[in-house]
Amino acid sequence: MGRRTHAADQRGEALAELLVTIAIIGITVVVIVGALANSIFASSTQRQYATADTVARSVAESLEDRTIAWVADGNYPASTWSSVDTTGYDVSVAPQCWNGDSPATFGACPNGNLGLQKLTITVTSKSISRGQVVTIMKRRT
Amino acid sequence: MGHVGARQTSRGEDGFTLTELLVAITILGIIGGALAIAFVVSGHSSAETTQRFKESHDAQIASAYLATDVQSAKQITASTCGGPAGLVPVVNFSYDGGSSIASYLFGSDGSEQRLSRRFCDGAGGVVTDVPLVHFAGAAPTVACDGAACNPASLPKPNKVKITVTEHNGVKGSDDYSYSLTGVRRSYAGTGDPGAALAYPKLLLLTSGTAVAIDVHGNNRLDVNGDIIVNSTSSTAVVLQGSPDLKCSQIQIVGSGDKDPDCPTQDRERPARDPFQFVPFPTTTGGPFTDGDPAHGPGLYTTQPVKFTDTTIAPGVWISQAGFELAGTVTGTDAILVNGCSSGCANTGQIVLKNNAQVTLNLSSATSAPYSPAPSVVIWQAAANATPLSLGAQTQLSSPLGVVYMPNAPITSTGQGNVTASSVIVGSVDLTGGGNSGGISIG
Repeated sequence: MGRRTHAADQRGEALAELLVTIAIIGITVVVIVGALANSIFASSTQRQYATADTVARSVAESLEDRTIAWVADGNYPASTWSSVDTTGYDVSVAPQCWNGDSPATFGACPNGNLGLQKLTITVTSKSISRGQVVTIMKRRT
Repeated sequence: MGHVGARQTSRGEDGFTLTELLVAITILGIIGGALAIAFVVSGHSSAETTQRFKESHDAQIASAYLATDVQSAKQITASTCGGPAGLVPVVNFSYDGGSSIASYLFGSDGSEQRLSRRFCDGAGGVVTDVPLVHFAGAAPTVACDGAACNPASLPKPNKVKITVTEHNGVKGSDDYSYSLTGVRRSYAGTGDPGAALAYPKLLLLTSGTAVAIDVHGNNRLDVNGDIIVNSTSSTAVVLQGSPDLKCSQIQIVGSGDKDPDCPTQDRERPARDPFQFVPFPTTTGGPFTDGDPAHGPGLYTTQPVKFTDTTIAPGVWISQAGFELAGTVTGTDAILVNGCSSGCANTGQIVLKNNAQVTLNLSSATSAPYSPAPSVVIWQAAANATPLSLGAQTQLSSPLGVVYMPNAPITSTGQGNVTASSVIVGSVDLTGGGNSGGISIG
């Protein structure tokens, strides 16, 4: 402020300095807000993943239920896991069947119906289009 | 702006300072305001974000524990593993039917509300005590097989579902709700009918809702031992007219007509087919098309193999057109196989003609005619549903052997007597035969 009284040619620099300062603050704010948005997004994504995980595990448990009927081609109906609340999530089960060898390898079902299936359960959140995968081995009872 | 321009000319640059200052302060005010809001929001959001991460973490921990506890559980029990003051049991799983218990507790320990899991070893000592879910909210709900988990009425937790709602105390809304499901694996242990009687005298494999035992008129089914009925039908056993059913006990998954001579016990789940994964028998001789048993053991196609008053040579006899047994027929270490695993019509029938006396001996309980089969003496392919027909006054005797016809009924046109270590068939059909015959299995 003292400068203004002494040198008129420096008065303009007050504006430039201010603008530079504002610009820097602006950039900082953008970065902070961006990081903030990121963390909110991440926490929301994390929740979607965690919920997808509980859904996938619950579906896996329903499929492991030894009282349900054995399906030779591995295409268990969705009613198998009807007790699981899947609202907001897509559930798909990809079956593979044992080739009868050791160490075990798996191929297309029913593949001889040897009594061992590998079921890959994919639960995808509809809102983030990503999710969790759980693989189980199902033995014929 | 005209004023400004005038000022510029008349007073030089002095006037800019005020204008610049005003503009700058305004801009600064806007930016500063935005910045302040951003900080306030960030303060709020970080708390909410943290809350969300915590909730997600809880969901992951809880889902890891519940499933394994239900899997290992023998029963739901009213006994608990104890717990800190303020926490009450939600559900308790007993691993061994005794004091090896996993307790799920809910309540406030003074500092927070939580769902906690506590596990006690067989001596009742606490092994682990893990808080699963930290939250403020209503108590979690537990359902077993769609109903409430009552240790008295439902001792076996086949399917347990816990629904947790975590109240978002930071935001006041946006509650997080999720469900965890566990399904029991362990069926072993005393008092569990699923584990008893691996080889009953008569095992009826027919699954689903089919009738497993159908006896009409004055027919009789007399079993000197236990019966297991896999059918889940409410009419799995039909006794129509004045028939007679005798056995030591009948274990039945579904339900049906009862006879006081055959006490009923509820069965939790179907019995396994013990030969389900045993490879279908193979043989070396043949193929023969004329059905003449003089060829010896081997593969017979086209014509049924007829044994009449003869001795069956040891070995594997496979017929794709059935067997006819008449008169007195004996054999040692021979197996009669009807049908094929694939590639034939599988419509051949095993028939014991009236008055046939058939004895299929085994030199020892493990002297299987082919490897690695167990002691089966009559084997009918699973794809063949043609009944085993016992004529009037017939006797099929194989004290060490097993009759295995997983998808076929056993019928009699008169009085058929079977002596075998186990008869494993699809069902028993005694609806014909003049309504005065029956089957006796001993």
